Amino acid sequence: MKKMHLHALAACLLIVCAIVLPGCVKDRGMKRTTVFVPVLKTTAEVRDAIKSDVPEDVSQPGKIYLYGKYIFLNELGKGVHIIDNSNPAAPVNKAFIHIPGNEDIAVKGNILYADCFTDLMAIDISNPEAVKLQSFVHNIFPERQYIFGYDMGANNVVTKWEARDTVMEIEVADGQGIWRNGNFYSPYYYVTDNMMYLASSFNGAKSDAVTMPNGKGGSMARFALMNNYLYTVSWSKLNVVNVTNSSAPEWNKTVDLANWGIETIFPFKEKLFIGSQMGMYIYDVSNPEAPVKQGTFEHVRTCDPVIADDDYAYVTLHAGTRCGENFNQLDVVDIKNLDAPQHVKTYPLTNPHGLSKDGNLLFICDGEDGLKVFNASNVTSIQQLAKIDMAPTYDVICYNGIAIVSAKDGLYQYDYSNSSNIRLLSKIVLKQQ
Amino acid sequence: MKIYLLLLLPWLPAFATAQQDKKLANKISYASSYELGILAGKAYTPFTARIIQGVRYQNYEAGIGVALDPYAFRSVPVFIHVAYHLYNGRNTPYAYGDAGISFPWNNGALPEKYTDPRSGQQGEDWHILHNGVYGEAGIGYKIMLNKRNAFIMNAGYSYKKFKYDEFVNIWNGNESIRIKQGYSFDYNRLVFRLGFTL
Repeated sequence: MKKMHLHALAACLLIVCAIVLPGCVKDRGMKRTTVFVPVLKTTAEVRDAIKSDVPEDVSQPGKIYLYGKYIFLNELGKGVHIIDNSNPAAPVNKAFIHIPGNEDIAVKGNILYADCFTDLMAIDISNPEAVKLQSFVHNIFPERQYIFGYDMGANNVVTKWEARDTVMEIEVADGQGIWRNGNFYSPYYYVTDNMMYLASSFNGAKSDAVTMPNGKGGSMARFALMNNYLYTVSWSKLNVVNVTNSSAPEWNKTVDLANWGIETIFPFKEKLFIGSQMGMYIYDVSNPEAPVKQGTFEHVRTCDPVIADDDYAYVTLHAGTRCGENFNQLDVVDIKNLDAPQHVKTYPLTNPHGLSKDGNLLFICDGEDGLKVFNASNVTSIQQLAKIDMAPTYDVICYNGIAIVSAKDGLYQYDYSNSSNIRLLSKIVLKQQ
Repeated sequence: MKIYLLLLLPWLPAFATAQQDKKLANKISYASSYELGILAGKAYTPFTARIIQGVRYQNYEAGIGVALDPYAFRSVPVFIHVAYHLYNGRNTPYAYGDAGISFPWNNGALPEKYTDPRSGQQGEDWHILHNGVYGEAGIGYKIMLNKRNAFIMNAGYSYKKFKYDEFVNIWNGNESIRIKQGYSFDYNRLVFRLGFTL
């Protein structure tokens, strides 16, 4: 009997311990990662520092703008390369303009327009080797004040990010590092006042923003010049900037496009063709300060650059990490009646990005398939003339018998004056990361 | 597959149990225990189970054990077990200690490779799981059911470490770069078990 009491006592003791003591133990988690700390400058410091510097290697080419004998090539987030293209067979990298946060460029006369995070800069490039900031429009792109939730403030810009190896504690009690409902909860990224902890997975896919250089006058630009106006698009807005006085742009208004996912803008004959992830929108700018929506061609959600000629618009749709769908094709749209664009035909492609048209020749950058050249004289029966194998291509500009192609490994120039014998003229090799 | 083998391994000597006669208490004899219990941690309290196969000599026991440890990230600890019994051959309190390695048992929550959602093709490395140390110490009470078999209950402190590396592409403000980041977790739990010995 005494033994039974002892056993019962021991069992009770265990049960009490099981209920009471777990609160005494604590789990602990540590994360070893890379933290990026922004290096800030004031906007005033950045403006003062805008000048022609020694040329730098091209490593992440962005948008291209042709002007006279020069190619202005955006280095994503860093500035603009000035390349003397007097001889397309031997382009010369002449100078580099440091413009933090720069992604888009356009040129009118001797003035280069470039974004610098929230601001628009007007830079005199009459002497490309001694450029000079003429003026700026402050806070025209307010959404650029934030980078992944990091707020730079209205008067600061991030000039670079410094990587630091860091160990931080994880709050396991909050659920991180714990398996629940079939999921293991890994820590996510978060932002503090002065640091950016970047640890969010992009599911292995590299950001489009990293590897998608764009082209001026072509299909992937977000700046478009028409007469005395500069039009810029952002996620859902269209800015109208009067550049009658080129060196002193005046921000007239911002038009809410009532759609999101705006990606590109292409000007053609007093119309703006705006490409978005949801479709193509046509805006009439007969009154340049008051764009009016005229027509829409909607499609599935993809990334879509667009170009146009008198009768047809050409829209490439490609599946991308930001775009959500899996369509890779060229859509031809009849725009003879701009109020009601009509789909003409779809052509399957591999992973089309930028495109350009010169006469009946249609050039399409088809991702891994390189550059494809088509005869588009009959839009219902577009025929492939050539396929140029090269590294993945992103954008192309055709000008004066020369196609400038940006690809993953460099900037190429092809002579297509004889379409049956397209030949490589030159290549600017990218600096390896 | 290795995990399943680990789970099966300790059962093999049990087949020999029936062949064994009673041993004298001061001789080396076969010992095994089968236990179910709970792991009571800060986060939650899952069930656990373990099997130990070993030998008994006088007041001492030593053996190899394997457990199923679902706490936080599921794992299978394999460990060396030692115990000291206050009395020999009758009801007795005892103390024990375990030390070994915790093998993580992934159910896909931390995929090894990135998978293209469109093609289903596997790409670059994503997660690499690492084994961690495992340890436990506690006290128990053994109630003899007959000269050989006993009912046991024990309580103790259990620790396991779980580590993994994750490869991610991140945007550093200017460009996408691939980095490896390491996670390390120390799980501290109290453990309570009931079981029997053969």
